[in-house]
Amino acid sequence: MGYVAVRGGGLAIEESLKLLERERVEGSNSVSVDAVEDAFPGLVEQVMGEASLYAPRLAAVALKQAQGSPEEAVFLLRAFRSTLERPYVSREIKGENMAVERRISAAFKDVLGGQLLGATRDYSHRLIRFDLERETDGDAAKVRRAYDDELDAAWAALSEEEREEHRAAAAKLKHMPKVLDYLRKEGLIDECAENNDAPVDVTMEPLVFPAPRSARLQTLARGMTQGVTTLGYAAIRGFGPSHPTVGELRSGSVEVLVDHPLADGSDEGDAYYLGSIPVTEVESVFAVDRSKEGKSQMGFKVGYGMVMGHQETKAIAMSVLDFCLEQGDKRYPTQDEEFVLYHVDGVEATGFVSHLKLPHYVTFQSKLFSVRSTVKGDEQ
Amino acid sequence: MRQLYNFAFFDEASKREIRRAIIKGVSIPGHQIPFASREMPIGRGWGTGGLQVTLALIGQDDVLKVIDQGADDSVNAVNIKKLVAETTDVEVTEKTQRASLIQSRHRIPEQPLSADQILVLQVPMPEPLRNFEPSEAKTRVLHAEADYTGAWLGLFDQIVRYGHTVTNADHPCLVEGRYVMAPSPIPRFDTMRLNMAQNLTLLGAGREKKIYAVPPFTHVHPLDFEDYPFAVESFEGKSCRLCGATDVYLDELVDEETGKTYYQCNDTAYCQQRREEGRNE
Amino acid sequence: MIANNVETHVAQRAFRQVLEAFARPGTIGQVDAFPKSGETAPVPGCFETAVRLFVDQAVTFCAVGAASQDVARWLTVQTHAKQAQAQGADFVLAPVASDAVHAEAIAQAKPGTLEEPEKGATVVLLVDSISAAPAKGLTRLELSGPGIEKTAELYVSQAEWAHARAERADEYPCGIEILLVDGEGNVAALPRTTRIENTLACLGGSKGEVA
Repeated sequence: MGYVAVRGGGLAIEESLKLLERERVEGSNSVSVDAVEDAFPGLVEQVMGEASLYAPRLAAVALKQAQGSPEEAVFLLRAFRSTLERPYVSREIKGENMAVERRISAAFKDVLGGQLLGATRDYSHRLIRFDLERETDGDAAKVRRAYDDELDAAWAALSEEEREEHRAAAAKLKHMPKVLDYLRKEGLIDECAENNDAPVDVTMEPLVFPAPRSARLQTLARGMTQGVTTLGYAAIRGFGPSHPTVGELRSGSVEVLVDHPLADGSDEGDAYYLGSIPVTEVESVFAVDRSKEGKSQMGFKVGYGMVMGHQETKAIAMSVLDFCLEQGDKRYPTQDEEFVLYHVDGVEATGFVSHLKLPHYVTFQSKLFSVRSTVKGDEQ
Repeated sequence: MRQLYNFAFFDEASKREIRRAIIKGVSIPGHQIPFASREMPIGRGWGTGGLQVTLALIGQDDVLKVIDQGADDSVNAVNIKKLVAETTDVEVTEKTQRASLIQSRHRIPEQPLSADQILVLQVPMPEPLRNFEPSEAKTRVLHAEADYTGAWLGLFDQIVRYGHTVTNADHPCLVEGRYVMAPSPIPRFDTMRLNMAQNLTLLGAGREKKIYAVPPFTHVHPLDFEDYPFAVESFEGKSCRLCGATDVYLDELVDEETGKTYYQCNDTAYCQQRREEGRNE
Repeated sequence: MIANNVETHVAQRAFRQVLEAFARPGTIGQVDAFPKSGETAPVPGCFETAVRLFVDQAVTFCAVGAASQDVARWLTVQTHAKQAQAQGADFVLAPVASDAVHAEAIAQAKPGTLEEPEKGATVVLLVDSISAAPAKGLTRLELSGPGIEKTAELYVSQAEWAHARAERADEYPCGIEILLVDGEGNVAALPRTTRIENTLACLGGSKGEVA
């Protein structure tokens, strides 16, 4: 029997859901939520980032339920987020206070505090490792042990003096200077006026235009990962004249602190520590003209990106788009904030595109009437 | 992991935000009130605006009716009704006059609504000026200045080109002589039902994050010209194959066997009621 | 799977009553007192319900009149709402049934802008009595505008706010919304579109003669 979009819809939906659930358990190997969390940390972080909700366990459940579809998992997590009250606002999070796991600069060969490559796929060969097909839990444990043993051996070989140096270096990773401070000191970067407006939360307040920068940054940070990358790419390729240099990319974790509602936040130590979240922060630099008073001169402007987890490409693209939107030359679509911010949201884009599957026969009948009237002449 | 959902899905703060927007909407008829628009468990563009309004309104004593394209058991109507019922346990109905809350996409019921009923319309594109001005910042200024030249020019252009307006559904209306409003994609046939109505109508656009309203006894006039007056879709000479109704919005269908075109009431509940009352003339 | 609690339903019922009052100016609604969680509120329970329907951490408010400090502190602790000057507040609250306080609240409330008329404030006034019928000491207001078929009548114990509202001379669509609440939980509302005419004091008696 065919599917009728109108009558009998309830029964059709029920049967469709049953079939969907049957397909979800098609294979005989069910995947545990632990396994999703362990095996796909990047996916879990992407989902949390686009959902604006730090909840790794729930993100993993959502991914399992969505059979691995990130857009569907984001949808689930965001709908859940709508049921949560947000009674507190955290203290400002500063990139300077990130416990750094990775830190690179494309602008300088060496930077104060040093480059830290960390774990990256950037210099891996994208060759399929066929051996992973048959990797067992035991094999994985062996890889872990081998790495840890090597580390222990290296540590054991160090003198106490050298160890002290390493400890000191590790402590410094919690307070790495910003690479761009070097250029700021020289006066080469346009100073931004301090903005102490309370940040706008676009999930609590409507987006208005021109959008405050906080609303822009949040919209980009929770934007569809591939969507942000696509628009960022368009901007540097030619639809927005901006070719950046990554001044600094750092990833690691930052602490989230909350003040008591009646406290004024002046006491540094008097806040509640809620936990840490993984983030990636990017500051890109763009050479701009800043000629004034007849004197030709150039300087730098910074584009900023911060996203949840280790979504580095998204963070860089975000920094590009932040710069573009600050420029605001609407001849370029990537500098038109309504174009960028309205269309970068994954749940909105997939929702509206897919709503075209809904029946539209009332409006189509009306359209039909109009079209026929123009064909038949003066029927109206 | 067990999770209890709040009554009507939302947390109370979300409801408060939507309620604040509804009150301002009612107080400034036809003006689009921006609201944050929560993410819903159904797709953006699938009625999340109407759903959010419904959830902010609904209480234990309400009786809910949901229609999509005029039908109560259309897949999307069923889906929305199910979500509301599961998070509220309210009674649902297909009978228009039994409902205290009616959420609808693209139709206003044929049965005139009473003062005890609230109609919630789902809106895909709330901005009537978007056709000629893509920028939200600019349309906001046009509304502020009541500069509706563009909307009039659009209609004028259609008349020049086709001899009459060809606006289809969602024909723009002037509300209380001040705001030009998109009545949502209801057919022109339904537009006048908003004018001086007994009931309150609330319009919710989830993806576009706007709520607006037409209070009862409010003047709603479709934009038209004196010499080219507003005209509704005409079903002259046609009637419903099931109940014989002639003064209703009809769906055009094709008989699979004979290949002939026939017509049926678009409002399935209205048609059903007429047949129950034996009005199969 | 539904978590039910009393406040949710009190607020929902109150909202529908308030919405009806705004949609049909002149209609009198009924709200219940806010369920007590411990701390005693420095305002009547029904007024508390009306205020907490809308005021929370996402908006600003200003309390006007005697004891406004206590009210403001209490409301901040209960709702995490931010205080603001009356001229900038989203909600201006007059928890005292006093003509002078009402006039002060109305005079200062922000009207919004032509681009964002919805930023106009909502003013919540406590009055001694709201009634659909005339009685001694009440003032009769004749209302017209959207939501009203021809005209509607409303009788209130304090009406100075109506004059203060007229004096503002807001240019529509700018303006303010007014929500009246009495100690019995009666509510009435005046959106900015409502015209008030023939404000007359009742002389008393059941026939409601007016001066």
